[in-house]
Amino acid sequence: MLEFVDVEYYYDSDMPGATPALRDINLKIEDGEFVGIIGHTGSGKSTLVQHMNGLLNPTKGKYIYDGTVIDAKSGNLKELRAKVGLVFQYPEHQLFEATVLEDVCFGPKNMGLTDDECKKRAVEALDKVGVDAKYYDASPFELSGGQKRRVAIAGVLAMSPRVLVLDEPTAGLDPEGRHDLLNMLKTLNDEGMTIVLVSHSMDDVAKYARRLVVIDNAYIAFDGTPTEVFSHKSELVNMGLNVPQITGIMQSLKSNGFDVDDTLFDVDAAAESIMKCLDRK
Amino acid sequence: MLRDITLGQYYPADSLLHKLDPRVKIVGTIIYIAILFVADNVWGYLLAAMALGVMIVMSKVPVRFIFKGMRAIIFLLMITVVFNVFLTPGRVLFQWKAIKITYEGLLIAGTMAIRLIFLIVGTSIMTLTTTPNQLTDALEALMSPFKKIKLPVHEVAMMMSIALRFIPILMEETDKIMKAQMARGAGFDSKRLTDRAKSLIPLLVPLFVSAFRRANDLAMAMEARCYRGGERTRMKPLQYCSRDYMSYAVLWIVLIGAIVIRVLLPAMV
Amino acid sequence: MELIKTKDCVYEYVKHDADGNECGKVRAVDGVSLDVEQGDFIAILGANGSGKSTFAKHLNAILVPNEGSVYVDGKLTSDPDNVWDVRQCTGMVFQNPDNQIIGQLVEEDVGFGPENLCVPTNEIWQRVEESLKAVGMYAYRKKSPAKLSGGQKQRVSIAGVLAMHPKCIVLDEPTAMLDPKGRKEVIRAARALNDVENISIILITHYMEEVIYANKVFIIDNGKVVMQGTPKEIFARVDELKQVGLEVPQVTLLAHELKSRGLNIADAVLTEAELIEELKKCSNL
Repeated sequence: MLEFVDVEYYYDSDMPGATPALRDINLKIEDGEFVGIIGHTGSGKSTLVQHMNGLLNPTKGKYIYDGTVIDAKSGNLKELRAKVGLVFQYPEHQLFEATVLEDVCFGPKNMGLTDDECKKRAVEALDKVGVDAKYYDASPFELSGGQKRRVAIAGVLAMSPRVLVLDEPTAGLDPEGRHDLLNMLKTLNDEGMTIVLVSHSMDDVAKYARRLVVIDNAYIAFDGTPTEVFSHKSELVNMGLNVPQITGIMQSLKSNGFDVDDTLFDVDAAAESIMKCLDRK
Repeated sequence: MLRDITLGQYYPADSLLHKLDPRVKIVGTIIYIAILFVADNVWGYLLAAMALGVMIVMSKVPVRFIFKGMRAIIFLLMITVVFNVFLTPGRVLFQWKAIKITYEGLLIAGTMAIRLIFLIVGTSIMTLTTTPNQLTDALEALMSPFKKIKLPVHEVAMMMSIALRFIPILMEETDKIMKAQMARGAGFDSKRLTDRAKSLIPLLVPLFVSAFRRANDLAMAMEARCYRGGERTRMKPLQYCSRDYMSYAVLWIVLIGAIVIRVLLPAMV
Repeated sequence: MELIKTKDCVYEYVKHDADGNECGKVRAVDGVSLDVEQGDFIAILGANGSGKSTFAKHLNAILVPNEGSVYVDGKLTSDPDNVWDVRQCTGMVFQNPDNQIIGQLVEEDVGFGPENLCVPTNEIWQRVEESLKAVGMYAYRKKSPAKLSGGQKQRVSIAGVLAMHPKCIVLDEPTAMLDPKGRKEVIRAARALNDVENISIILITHYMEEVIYANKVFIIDNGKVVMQGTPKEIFARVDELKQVGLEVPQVTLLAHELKSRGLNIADAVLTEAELIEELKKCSNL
């Protein structure tokens, strides 16, 4: 379980007049949740997730993982980082080994596992992300963009984290690549892994996350189910965000006198609701 | 820590120094360095200090910002001072076993420290008040005589300007890759030197790959905008105006002053 | 005369294995023929790796075809004497906002192209001002590009191309690395140039929402043009698009879904307003 208590974070805390990157953050994420964290560029969402595995420590307040307070004095962060896997934006930029398999082994190796165990974990992880065995000995730099990204995610999965945090994992992928990746996250979540998905795309997260946390200007603006959050359309638009396209359409339909459910974001459900509304007339 | 290096950074402000022709600023900096090395007594250093003080005030750059850049060289400074204090022979002021401190040692260490600080602050004032583009334009103009002996002056200047533009981007990238590898359990704080060197591989390989990718992208973008080296016009051509000639005059006067001080007044050592 | 005319354009490159030996050729662009008229807004769509970006680089003579031909403003791109004319005629904006800004100040970057074209100093300033105003970035002219958002950086890049007075601008996935706000800014700027200045725009993308303003859409898959037509014609073919790894905008998908459930709606509804109109018609019946 991850817990933020009154967390505040400054990048340059010694500079006078510095503005906090995070303020008044109170957030609890239970095991097995699928949480979407939404905010526009510079809202503080990336800063928030970097606290989750101790890369950053709160300037004020507390961050607690499974009952242990994580701060600058916490000794062994490697253990935490194995439990809370963090996938950065464009993770393919961190690949460095000569072969795909070796690169994925990097995390497990840092955990001090034996070579055999590392390899076993790497193969499992590559299997989960759908990278075929024929690429194991290829150089990661020769793969296509989408494959590179999967290998990079496997590099974090190989540490067998209980929580997987991903910062904009779908950036730059085409529609198919985006679906594949999000479906993979859903499978991992179904298997019990906690997923924290950071994104500025409502459409991406709406279908998968069961809970949305909206960050705006260093604060948590909204925290609730997608339906609850999307009911605040005008506030979201003011923050430079938007509701999913389908929700937007349903809301416009409703204001045009159609009696439809304006909290939907799935095409099928929306079609269903529109059909029902028309049948009634 | 990387963020602390202000050397080579530009600080936008509207001051006389900012408006001065960059060629004057480069020549001025060279003259200023010459003054520092000509100085061999208190009056010489006072003259340099005065020149520096006037430049700082004229630049309108906050003093705190200028001296922030010093943090990066403090280590270098310490080494210079320690070496000079303990290793210069001369009149012994204090002795404890093999360690002795001499009058000459203190004097040389002191003057070295002052020279180094003055040097860094002086040159950083030039870079703080001059955009890298102006700087490279000026370098190109000042070095243009070397074109006659087939030195690729323009190309070198362009390379410098691009390098300066990409320093902050690559620093940010370093930070990002470091964090990404730390998230995979990498440590960059190992005690043993060999381990430390090894731990740099996961950082350096991606950094090189990224630098090459950026270089490739940039070269393509430049070619797409018809860059072919050589014949170009200038958006901001360098043109001397009266304040630049005045500045040259002042600079030469100060330099002559420094030489006069050295010749007429006795040296400290 | 067409502004751009490509005929059976083929681009192949040799692939090397880990030891540097040749191991076969890859046909990244495989016989693409398309025409662009002055004032066109063309969208080229394709999944990652479809060859769309490789093709785009032919329009600016960064690449020249192995087979077939590319003419820009009547000039053959593969003739080395034409390279600079071609590049002046079709400007190019790339994907990564950080890797194409050369100047330390916004205005210096926009001036870079005209400098290369040996435009006199006074006119450079004039062009810089016009170009920055056209993309709404004039207020930022003295700023360092590092301080700008992704969308702003891309608009500066567009201004940089615009200052070279091109007839056509090729935007190669200009929004792939931007957030929704930045994406909107860039597309809006491109549309304005098309509307107001009548500059041809060729937009390479895989975001469907950006395509609906185009007057012609080409879908590229495996280096070949597999579909072409107006956005309406293209988006009516939902299932075919899925097969090449693309998808239609959500509005269109919803309309398609409603139609397949028996509602009498027009094919390929592209905007929210259109869908509402269509549904109003249905509910009156």
